[in-house]
Amino acid sequence: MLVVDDEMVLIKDYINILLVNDHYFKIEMKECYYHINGKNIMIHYLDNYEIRLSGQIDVITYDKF
Amino acid sequence: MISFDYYCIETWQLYELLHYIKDHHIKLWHLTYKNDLYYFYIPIYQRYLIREINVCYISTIGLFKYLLLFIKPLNMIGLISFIGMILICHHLILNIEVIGIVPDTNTEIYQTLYDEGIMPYTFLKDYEELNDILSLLKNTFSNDIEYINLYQTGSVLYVEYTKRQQDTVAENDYRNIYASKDGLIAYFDIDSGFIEVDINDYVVKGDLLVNNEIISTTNETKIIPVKGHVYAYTYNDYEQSIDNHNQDYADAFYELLLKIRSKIPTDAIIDKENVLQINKTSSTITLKMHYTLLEDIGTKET
Repeated sequence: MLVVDDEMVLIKDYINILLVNDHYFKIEMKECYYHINGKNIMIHYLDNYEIRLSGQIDVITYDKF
Repeated sequence: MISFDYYCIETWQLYELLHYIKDHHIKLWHLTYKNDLYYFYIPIYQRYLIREINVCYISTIGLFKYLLLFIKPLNMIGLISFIGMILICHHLILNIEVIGIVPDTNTEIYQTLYDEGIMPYTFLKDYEELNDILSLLKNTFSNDIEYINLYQTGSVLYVEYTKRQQDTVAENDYRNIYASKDGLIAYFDIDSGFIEVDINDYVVKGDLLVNNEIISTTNETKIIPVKGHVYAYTYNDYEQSIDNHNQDYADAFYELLLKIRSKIPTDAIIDKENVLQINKTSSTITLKMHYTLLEDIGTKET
């Protein structure tokens, strides 16, 4: 599940975090990959169920398997 | 309220960390990249999990940081001792206060309590023990004390008492009241007796002021007790000398005046004070004063 608001992006029930840097995140979900592009992206909170990302997020795309 | 540990890892350890976090249900906060290192916070109760991987501990933030300072052996001993002292002192008598106006009775009460094993740094007493102690004190001091109370407030034991009022039986005195010195009668304060003089009468020493005889309506002479005071204005001259050391005149006068005033009876009231003469010779300085005093001139002795 993906929730987007003004300050944060919430991703629930992720499978894995595949790529991390300050302008791009690739996250594996159950049925797709999320690609998150932006600037100064930071993991605000992370546990085994959800990720909250903050920063200047420009584009979120997904790829189905 | 939750405290956090602050860690850092090398860049190459990031993915290992992320997988580890997911596998072990660890919570991570504020992952930031700075100076070729990744920094993050982990809740303090999960520190035993995260330290299984090679992370670099930096510091702890939050309330638990200060509590964890006590984990060191010496600090733990101090903390346990402090808590123990608080708990123990809460059940001890730390002070005993006896509230009363008779110092000797206060001392005796302290001694009685000590003899019964009640002293500072002994345990507080329960209600029944306090009652027993109170009964003991009442019996011991029944002649000296009218009212006594015993109570505990906090760690202080209080004993309050009031002194027993001594009832005196006054014997009737049937003697007459005579003038002890010359004076002008000002007023009377007579409880019983027959007044023989009036206000503004001038009396001399030895005059009868209050009589013990009264004549009843049946012409019978009865003797009654005589009790009271007769106040009159008396006229007195006082003289005092000091050695002449060429001291300041005002100082000498003041010293002489104080010495003369100390000669005046303590129960007399100064009505008028006049300087008669101050005399200075090569060896002495002499002051003469005249006083009009209001005083009790009644006396039973002839």
